Amino acid sequence: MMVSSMNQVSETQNPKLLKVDFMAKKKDGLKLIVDGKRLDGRAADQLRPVRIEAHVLNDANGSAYVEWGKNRVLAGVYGPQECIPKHDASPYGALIKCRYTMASFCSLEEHGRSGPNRRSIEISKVMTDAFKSVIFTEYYPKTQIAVFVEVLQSDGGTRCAAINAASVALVDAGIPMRDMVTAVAFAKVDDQIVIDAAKEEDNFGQADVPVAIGANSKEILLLQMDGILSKEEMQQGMEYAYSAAEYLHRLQKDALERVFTTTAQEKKETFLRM
Amino acid sequence: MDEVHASLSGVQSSGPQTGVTGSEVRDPKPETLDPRPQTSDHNRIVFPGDKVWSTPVRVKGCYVSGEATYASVLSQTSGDRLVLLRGFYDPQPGDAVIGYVSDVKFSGYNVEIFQPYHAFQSSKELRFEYSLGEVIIAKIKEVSETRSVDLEYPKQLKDGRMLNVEPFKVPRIVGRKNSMINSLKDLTGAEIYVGANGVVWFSGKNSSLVIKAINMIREEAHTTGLTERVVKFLQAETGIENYTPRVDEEPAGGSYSRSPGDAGSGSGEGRRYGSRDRYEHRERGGDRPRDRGGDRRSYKPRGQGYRR
Repeated sequence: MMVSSMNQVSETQNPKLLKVDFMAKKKDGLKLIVDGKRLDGRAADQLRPVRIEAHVLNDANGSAYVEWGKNRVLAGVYGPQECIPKHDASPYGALIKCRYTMASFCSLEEHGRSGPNRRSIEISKVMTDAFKSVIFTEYYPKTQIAVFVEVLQSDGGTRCAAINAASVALVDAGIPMRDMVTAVAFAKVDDQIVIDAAKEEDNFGQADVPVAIGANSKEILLLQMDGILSKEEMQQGMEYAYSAAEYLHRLQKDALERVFTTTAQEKKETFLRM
Repeated sequence: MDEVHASLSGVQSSGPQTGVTGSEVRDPKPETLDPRPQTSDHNRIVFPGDKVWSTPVRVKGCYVSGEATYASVLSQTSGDRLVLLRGFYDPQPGDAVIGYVSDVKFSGYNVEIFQPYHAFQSSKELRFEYSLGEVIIAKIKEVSETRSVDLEYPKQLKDGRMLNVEPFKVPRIVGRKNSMINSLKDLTGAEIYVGANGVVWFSGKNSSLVIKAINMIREEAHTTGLTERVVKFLQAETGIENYTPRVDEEPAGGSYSRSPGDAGSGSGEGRRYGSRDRYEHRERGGDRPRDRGGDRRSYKPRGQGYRR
């Protein structure tokens, strides 16, 4: 199975108008997949274009920036540092504290508009659990490792973008890890399994499954399912997810390698392009 | 993006795999369409989870799983060595660290060493006293199971500036056989101490030049031929000609580097930081004799009826 990235995104309409039209059309029985092509022109096994930059913040121990379709996610890692509050500190290892937040301006909906909510607390929790199983926490007793992820712009699949960004930021920080983590979501849209659901497919599809995978070990570190899938559909989706994870891992490694192979001038130009 | 996309089509999906040790070495020579610079097998960047050696080797930045060694930290292979490109300070007994007194307690001093570890200098065997905010360099005596650090042989550093650098770049700032640090001292005339915790302390007129040089080392820490470039830079800045980096025969590890005054005086040549130094503090005017309070008029040597 081949998962590839789409190079052009058609952004012809004002997103606000698109949304209103879309809601109306969906009621009239709009198809999310026409002639094997999805709303944004992708095939079922095609990812949106992904771009990863590592080491984008000067004062964080590690950082990363991910553009994934219309998603924009910034991750910063601080630590190991003194654990606060102190009574949380464990003598057996570092505490991992992930915080996923959506910027108040990240989407048209009310996401992130009133601080942390049930959804962002849940995502912070599942991210923490995913990273707990790869980080050698026992090397740093009585400390905490803080991972901050800020969603600057959202278009479906931000938790996967957040996990990919956080993984690169953790490696950039030098936190000892067993493995890198890659994440991607697959979905069931119009009775068909597709990889990397965009917002409309997520909202109006039949099922949505974010998966985080250990890049080398192929262990499943996160698996959530919203909707109903048959066994065959699940297998098909996981197959997509595994090959997408391979591709994403390659992008993550590229981003980290670029920190050392690019000159200061090139870095500056990259920053200006963002 | 195009190139990456194209190269991907040559990759055969391996599908789901299970087992922790099912990792593979990253192909050092990727597809021809790959735009990345080609790295040779002897000098490749390894990422957490990548297999480094097929034999179990227990070194820093790696972990052993089954019969193979995997990277746990972003590093670069260099022959059969592994050079860390990222990492945190791992306190070891014998390391010299620089910090400031962050709390004065009855039994000693808490020292802020800019690490997640709690450092403590006991005043039990101390002949001098320190006050809040004073900068000291000390040796690590002991590291407890929960990474609390006990210090010994403190020495006050006065009238200087501190600069925090990444601890894994400290070997580059010191250089092979102290060559880098000696060049910095000789060409800037500054007194420089480097703590293993990544704190560089320096004093002298040329401090802005020292900062520039250290930032240059930080930015280019992963490159080769750095000492020559730093020396060239410093020569251009100071106008000093015909300088070759001075190397010390004694190993750099453990003891912190000496000041240029010590090295030139003859008596200081080759001397390691040790117990003898403790008695020279007063001459240097750094540390103050400990105030034992009360109406004690003179110091008595220990063990002759002296009680704390």
